[in-house]
Amino acid sequence: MEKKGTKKDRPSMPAASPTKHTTVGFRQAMLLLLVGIAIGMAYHLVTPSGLPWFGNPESSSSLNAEKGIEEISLDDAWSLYRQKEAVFLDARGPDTFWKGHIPGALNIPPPDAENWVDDIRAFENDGKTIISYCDGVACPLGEELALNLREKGVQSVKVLINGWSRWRAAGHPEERLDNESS
Amino acid sequence: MNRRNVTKLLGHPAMILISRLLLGGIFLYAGIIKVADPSGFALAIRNYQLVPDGMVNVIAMLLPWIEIVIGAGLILGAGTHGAALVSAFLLGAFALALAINLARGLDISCGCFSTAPSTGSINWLYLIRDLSLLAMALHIYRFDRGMLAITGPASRGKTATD
Repeated sequence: MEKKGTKKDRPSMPAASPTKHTTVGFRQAMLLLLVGIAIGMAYHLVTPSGLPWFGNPESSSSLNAEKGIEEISLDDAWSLYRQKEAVFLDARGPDTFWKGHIPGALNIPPPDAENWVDDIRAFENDGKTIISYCDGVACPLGEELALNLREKGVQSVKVLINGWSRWRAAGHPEERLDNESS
Repeated sequence: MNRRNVTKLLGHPAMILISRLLLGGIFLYAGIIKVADPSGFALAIRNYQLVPDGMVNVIAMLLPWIEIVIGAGLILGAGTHGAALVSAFLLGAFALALAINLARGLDISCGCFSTAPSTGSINWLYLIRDLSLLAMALHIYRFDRGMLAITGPASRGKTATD
């Protein structure tokens, strides 16, 4: 600890006044937050990104609609799963697929789509709903798979956006291929 | 090395300046990347499943700018202590979000320095990285004395003495 005398010599030491140090810090913090929020609001007013400020965060919906991809909600996917009316296509790589996936899902990374076209069309003709999914932030594989299959003549592939994470978070059943079941 | 020496080393102006520039640069970079892709960042936030759906977009649109402002503040020394406080608060919140989802076992991307789909899923290293940055923020908050700063809590005294 410093003596009182040295404090006086160096008034710029923050330790000289801890309360003031904190107060000024908080005041600056508030000011910086306000500046950040103000610039952010101004930026989004000047260059609208198409995202609404509040409300429905299904930000990718409009993009996918342009590409002709139909999304399916988790609730709908879950009820089709329970009625055994859905065929799930896991578009991720085999590694992640092995660690866990929706029970009964087929592992089809988008480049493999053409090898599966006949099988999937057969499911389609049986009246099943084909649902592709991926995982994680903006993972495009589910959409890519749907597009690839559509190019090859499969008409009705729906996409469960961020499917794996949402499926797990909802506590729905999982299947693993490493001889463990969870 | 005794405690006084550690304090002396941590309080050395060069150490603080390094912390400031590094942390400021990191926040600036992280903010700029996310400003460019608000939709991707919104999806990243939504994947954490911790924020009410209605709040996701507004956070995705404003948080990057807050990061940019505190990043610039740390680098320039404009309101350094405030910037360090906000950084510490944000990094604390990020750590909590990461920890909760690691415990949940969700396979999600970090959304920290990229909104791109190809980035790997979160693991404990992300949490360690976040906590290291948090330590830097606290270091700056505790020891900064306004070296090469345009403003700061110490500037009143500084102009009189330096």
